[in-house]
Amino acid sequence: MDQNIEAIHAKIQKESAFVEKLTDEMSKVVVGQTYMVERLLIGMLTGGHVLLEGVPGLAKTLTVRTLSAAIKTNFQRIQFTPDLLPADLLGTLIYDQKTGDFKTKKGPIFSNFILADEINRSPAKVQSALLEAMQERQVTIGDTTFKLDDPFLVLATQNPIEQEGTYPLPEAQVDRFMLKLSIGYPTAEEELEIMRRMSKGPEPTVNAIIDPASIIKARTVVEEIYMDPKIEQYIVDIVFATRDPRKYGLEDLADLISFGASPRASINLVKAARAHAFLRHRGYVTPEDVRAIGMDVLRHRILVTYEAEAEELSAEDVVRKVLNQIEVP
Amino acid sequence: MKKTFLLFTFCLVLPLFSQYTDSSNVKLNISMDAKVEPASVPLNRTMTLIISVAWTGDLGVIEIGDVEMPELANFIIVGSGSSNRIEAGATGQRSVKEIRYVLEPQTLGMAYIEPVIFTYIDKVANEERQLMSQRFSVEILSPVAEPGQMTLPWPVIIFAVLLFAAAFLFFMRNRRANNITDQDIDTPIEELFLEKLKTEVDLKSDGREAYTGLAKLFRGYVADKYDLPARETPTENLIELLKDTDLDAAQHEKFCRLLSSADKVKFSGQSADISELTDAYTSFEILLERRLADNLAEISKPSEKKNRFSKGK
Repeated sequence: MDQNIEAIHAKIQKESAFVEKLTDEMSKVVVGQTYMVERLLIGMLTGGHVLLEGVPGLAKTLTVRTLSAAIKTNFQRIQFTPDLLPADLLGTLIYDQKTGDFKTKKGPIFSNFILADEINRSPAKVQSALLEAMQERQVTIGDTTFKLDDPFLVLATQNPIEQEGTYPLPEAQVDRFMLKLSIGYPTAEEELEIMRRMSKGPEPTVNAIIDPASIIKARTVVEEIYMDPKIEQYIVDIVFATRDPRKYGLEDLADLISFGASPRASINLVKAARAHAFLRHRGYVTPEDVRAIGMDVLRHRILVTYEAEAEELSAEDVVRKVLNQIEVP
Repeated sequence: MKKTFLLFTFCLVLPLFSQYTDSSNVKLNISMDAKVEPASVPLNRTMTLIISVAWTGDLGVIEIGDVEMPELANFIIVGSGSSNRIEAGATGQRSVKEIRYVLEPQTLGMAYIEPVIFTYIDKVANEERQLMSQRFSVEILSPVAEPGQMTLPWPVIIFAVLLFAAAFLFFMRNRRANNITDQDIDTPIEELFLEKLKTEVDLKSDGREAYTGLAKLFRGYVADKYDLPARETPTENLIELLKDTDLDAAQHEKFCRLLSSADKVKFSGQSADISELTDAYTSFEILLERRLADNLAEISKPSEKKNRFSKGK
C-alpha cells in the first residue's frame, strides 16, 4: 500500500513537472488570470469542458489561444451569432461537380481547443449540436461518423451583462460543462502590467512546452491519484447538503434551494479535485483540493428558489455556505 | 305563523266594526314607536322587537291595513303577537296597538332589522296613510352560560391542564440543562480537552487513527478556544487563521506541522511516523497543561474570581 502511494507520488512529481513551465510560458502573454489558467489546465487534464463567464476584455480568448500554442495543438475560435447553423459548426456534405460525388467538409469543431465565443448568442439548435458533440466526442456528417480529436476541449464564453437577443443555455445543458468559471477583473498591479506590456511592440511568441500526447498521458496519471474514502465521503456530504440541507444542519438553506447538485457534480468534483492535486504535485487528494474547485463545479448545478432570488441570494452564496459549513474530514 | 297573524288581524278588525262610532270631528294625532329589547343579545338568547302605534280617540278611528313582516338580516322570527288597549289620560282617550316579534340571532356579529311599514286608513280624513319605523342594528354577542352549565367545556379544561403540565416539564428540563451548561462553563476548556486527549487518542493504536483523532481534537480546541471555524476549514486556510491567535511562533510551527502531517497520513494512505505523532501529541498536551495551570493560577486570585474560564480569548 505504502509502496504504491510512494510510486504514485513519484510519478505525479515527474509527470506534473511541466505545469510550472507551461504557466510561466503563458505568463509571457497573459498577465495574471492564474485562476482561469489553472482551471483550464484542470479541464484539459480531465477532459472536462469549461464555461467562462465574464465581461468582454478579460483576456478569455487570449488565454485559450496562448494555452493552445503552449500545448502545440489546434485552436479554433467560433463566434456564435443568431444566424449560425449547426452545419457551420460541425461541417457538411458538398457536391463535387468534377467527380459527381459528395465530399465531406469538416467544420471548425474538428480541432483540439474550441473557443465557443458568446455561446448564448446562437439559437438552441446550434447550442445543442455543440453540446452533443462535447458529450459524444464524435460528429456525424451525412452517413459517416467522425471521432473528434483528442484532446478535445471546449471553452465556451457567456457575457453576463447583456441578456437582450440571447438564448440562455438550459440548466440541463449547462450541467454538461464540468466547470463554470466566473472571471473577474485583474488587480491594479496586473492592470498596470497589462498596460505596459500590450501598449507597445509585438505580442511575445509562445513556445510549445508540451504536446497533446503528453497531455493524454498526464490524464491517465491524474486518474491514478489516490483519493481516500474520507475525501470521497466529504464530496458526498457536500453534494448531499445541496439536496437535503436540513440533514446537514443547514436549515436556513432548505427553502433557498430548488434543485441540488446532480451525480454528475460528484463525478466532476472527484475528477477536478484529482487534477487540482496534480497541479500541486501531490499524489493524493486533500480537502483543500475539493474546496478549491467546489465552487466552479457546483455553481451552475444548483437552482435557487424564488425566495432566494427575492433575498438576492445566488447559487454561489448557497455553495459558499455549504462549503463553509460541512466539516472537513 | 301567517295563520296566527291573520287571525290576530281578523280579531282586531271585527271589534272595530262593532264598536265603530262617528268620530269625524276628532283629531287623529297618530304616532309610531319601535324599539328592541335588549340593545345587544347573546347568541343563545332571543330579543323582542316592539312596534307600538298610538292615536287619539277610540280604536275604531283608524282601519289598520297590512303590517309588513320585518325584513331581517342575521335574525329569524320565532314568535309574534299583538295587543290593543285604550288609555285614558288628561288629554282624553288614547288607543294603542302594540305588535311584538320575538327574534332569534343566527351567528355572531351584527344583525339588522330593516324599517317596518305600518299602513292604516284614517277614517276621519278617509285616506290611506303609512308609518315607518327606523332601522335597527343589533350586536350579537358570544353565547352566555345556561343555568347549571359550566362556563368552560371539559376538553378546554383538560387541554389547559396538559398545556400547563408540558410547560412545567419544559421549564424544569431547561433549568436542568442550564445547570449542566453552567457546570461545563465552569470547567476550563483545557481540562475538557486534556481529558478527551487521554481518552480519545490512543498512541498505541493504528497511527492513522491516532493522527485523525489528534487533528480532530486540535481543530475542536481551536474552534472552541478562539471561536474560529476550524472544524470546517481545510488545513491551508486554518494555518493562516492560526497566525491571528495568541500562539507563539514555535507553537504555531509545531501545530502547523501537526495539521500538515495529519493530512498527509489521513489522505495519502501512508502510514504514520510514530515519533512525529508522539511529538505532536506531547506538544498539544503541554500546551493544554500550561494553559490550564495559568487558568488555575488566575482563578485563585480572589479579586478576579469570576468568568475566568469562559470560552474565547
